Amino acid sequence: MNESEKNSDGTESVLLNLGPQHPSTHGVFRLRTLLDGEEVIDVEPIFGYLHRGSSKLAEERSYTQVITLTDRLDYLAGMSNNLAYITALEKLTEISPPERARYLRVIMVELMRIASHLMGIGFLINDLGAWITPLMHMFREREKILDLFEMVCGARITFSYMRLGGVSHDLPIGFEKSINEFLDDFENKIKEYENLLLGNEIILSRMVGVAPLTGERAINCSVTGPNLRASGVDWDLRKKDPYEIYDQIDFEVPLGEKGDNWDRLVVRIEEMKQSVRIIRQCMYGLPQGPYRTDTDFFVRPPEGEAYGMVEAPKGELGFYLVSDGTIAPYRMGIRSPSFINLTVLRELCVGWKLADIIVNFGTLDINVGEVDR
Amino acid sequence: MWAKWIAKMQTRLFNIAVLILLTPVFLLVYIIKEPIVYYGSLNILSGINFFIGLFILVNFLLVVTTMLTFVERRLVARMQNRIGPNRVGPFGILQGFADLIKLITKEDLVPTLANRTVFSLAPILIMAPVLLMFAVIPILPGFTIADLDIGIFYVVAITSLGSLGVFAAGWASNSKYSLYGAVRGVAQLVSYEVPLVLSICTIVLLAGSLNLNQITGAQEIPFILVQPLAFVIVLFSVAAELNRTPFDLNEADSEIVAGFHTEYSGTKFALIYGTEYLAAFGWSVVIAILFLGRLEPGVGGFLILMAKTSIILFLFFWFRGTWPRVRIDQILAIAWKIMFPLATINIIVTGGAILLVQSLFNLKSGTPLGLQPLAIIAIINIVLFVVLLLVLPLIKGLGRFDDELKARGLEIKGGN
Repeated sequence: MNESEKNSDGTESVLLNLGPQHPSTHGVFRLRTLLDGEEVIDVEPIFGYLHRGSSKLAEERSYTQVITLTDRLDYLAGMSNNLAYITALEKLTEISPPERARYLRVIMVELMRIASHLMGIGFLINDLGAWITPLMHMFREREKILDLFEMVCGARITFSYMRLGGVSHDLPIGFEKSINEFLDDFENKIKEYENLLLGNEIILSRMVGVAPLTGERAINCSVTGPNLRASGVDWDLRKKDPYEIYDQIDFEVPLGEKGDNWDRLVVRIEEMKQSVRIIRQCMYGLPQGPYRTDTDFFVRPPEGEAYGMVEAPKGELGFYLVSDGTIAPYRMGIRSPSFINLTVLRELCVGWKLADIIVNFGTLDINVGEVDR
Repeated sequence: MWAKWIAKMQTRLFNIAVLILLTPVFLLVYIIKEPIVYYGSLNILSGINFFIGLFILVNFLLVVTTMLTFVERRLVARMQNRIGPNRVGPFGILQGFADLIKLITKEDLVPTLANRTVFSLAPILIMAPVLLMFAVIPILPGFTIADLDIGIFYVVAITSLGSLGVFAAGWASNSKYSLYGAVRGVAQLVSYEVPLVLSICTIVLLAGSLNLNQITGAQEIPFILVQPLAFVIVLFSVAAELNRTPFDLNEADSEIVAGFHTEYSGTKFALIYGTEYLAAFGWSVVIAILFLGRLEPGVGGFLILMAKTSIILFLFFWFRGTWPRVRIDQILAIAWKIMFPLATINIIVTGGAILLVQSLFNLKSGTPLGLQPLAIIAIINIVLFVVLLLVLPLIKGLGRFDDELKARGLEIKGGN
């Protein structure tokens, strides 16, 4: 990537640094872009500005303490991160949670998915230039979800709710009423968002047909999550490799067609509807019983290794744990969807305009906390 | 310690320099208006009264500008489920003044590699044309600082000078974001002048004069009814001129940080930021005068004018609260492929209609049209507007998303 390279018409291209301090890079993220006027010639993502060494820190902590580290990976989807880690840990220790805990986990994870998608869409429309109006509307709904989480476990962002062999708290009194109120309200709110966003001529002109990604290319680049499904590939871990109680639940996997920005937006909105469906079924079928099994605080899994993965809001989130029989993991590896989805960023942006970089980047819906780990 | 003192003094000196540099601007207005006084027009301001009037006007504008920042923040906050600023003064109405004081007392920073002279001059170049614009705007019938016969032409000409300041600011900052903002700004401003002027021409045809006083006087029917299409084109062209959403490309905060004023801070930023609202106010008054009926005499008349202005201003704030931004190629396409042809059709139809009523009512060309001729033109133009509204989506390439969305369908497909 060189600024002094001459273009075909003899003009020089411009090297523009978008970030790390930039209004719409979703955190401290840097994009080195080479531009020919407004047109993008090359994009190079540079990250590491938010690196905290989560994998290394995990080696110094007991298995239970590591849960708190996972909250801080994708800070918009703490519950999903907890669950991915616990899935791996439960495979390692071969402890299984009671039935009620499985239901509670699914409820929380799906609420988290709604919250994460709300933020994804809100910031995306903000990147389009709508002066934070849709963002504030979506913050309103996310606040209600965070209030529900606060009722359950006292925390709003860093939950550490999922524990080995269960969850940390049972549902409080009055939770069922609150969540039903929220779900009834939210279904209307989704309609409101659709009316506000999906018919808007400017949003259509900015998103339909922009930056398409074929299903084949998406698979080759290991893209997962809504971005993959927007390209028309029917791949959802909740269906293909059901964990917790997803095999007992009736829901659909929304698919896009061309994998352009529009599909990536619509798939997220449809997924929120499906999440509402899942939560309703879980609340209906919630069994009575214990919400966790008794385990030691300092659990010592047998020597070995395990890989646990879940369908997090941003894609397939995997934790790889290696145990040497002590109270701390010998090694912890994280497969973060945000990081791997960035593989396609360059080819999505090249050939489009400067303004499209921001939108394409927004539709990928990455979280820098998860990219840098 | 010395560096701090020097920096402080620089701020003070800059403020003084702004005032000194603005003085010739005021003098220019005085010179422009002088021959009109000589020919004994309605203008009641002359001599020392001229400067008193100017003093009142400029201060009024400053207060309006500061208040508008507050009003926009409160209004958009309502649209965004927020409360907005409510701490300074009753309901927070003094928020704008608090911001202004903060900005003026801040250190005056100039980037090391910036072109110091041009960088400092640019905010003045941006603000001066907007202030000058108010010279010809009548607030009461016949009550103008300079009652120019080429009033509306002067407004269009002087405000297009603003693009010079935008480009100077962007270029002198020596920042790539600023340069992008400047280049976008100039492309956009130059493009939208054309449909704007063409649409204003229809108003001039109807009124038979470029003088703003006579244009308001000719409105037996408010021209928004006579020229609905021109009103829409003018509204959007002005939104583009003012860099307001959805055409705020040259200060697109999500793309190029703050565009041409990325590197500005303190007093200079206050000038640029204030100008945005001042220009919005000025253009809203002009649109109100051109389209929303006659001026009435007295304090009541002034308040009616302000009410009309507020409606237009509210539209601009509303756009900003609800719409995203269009892309640079789309914005130029809208100007040249949609607005320019529409404005041309409009001017041809209006010209034809005027010829028609002149032959019908035996009017000499140049005489003001009466109520009945205007009504006939209004009917013709409203029909044209409705027909265009119905026909435009049918043209292939304009309603291009409908087929695509229908083909794709919004309902869920597949998935096991």
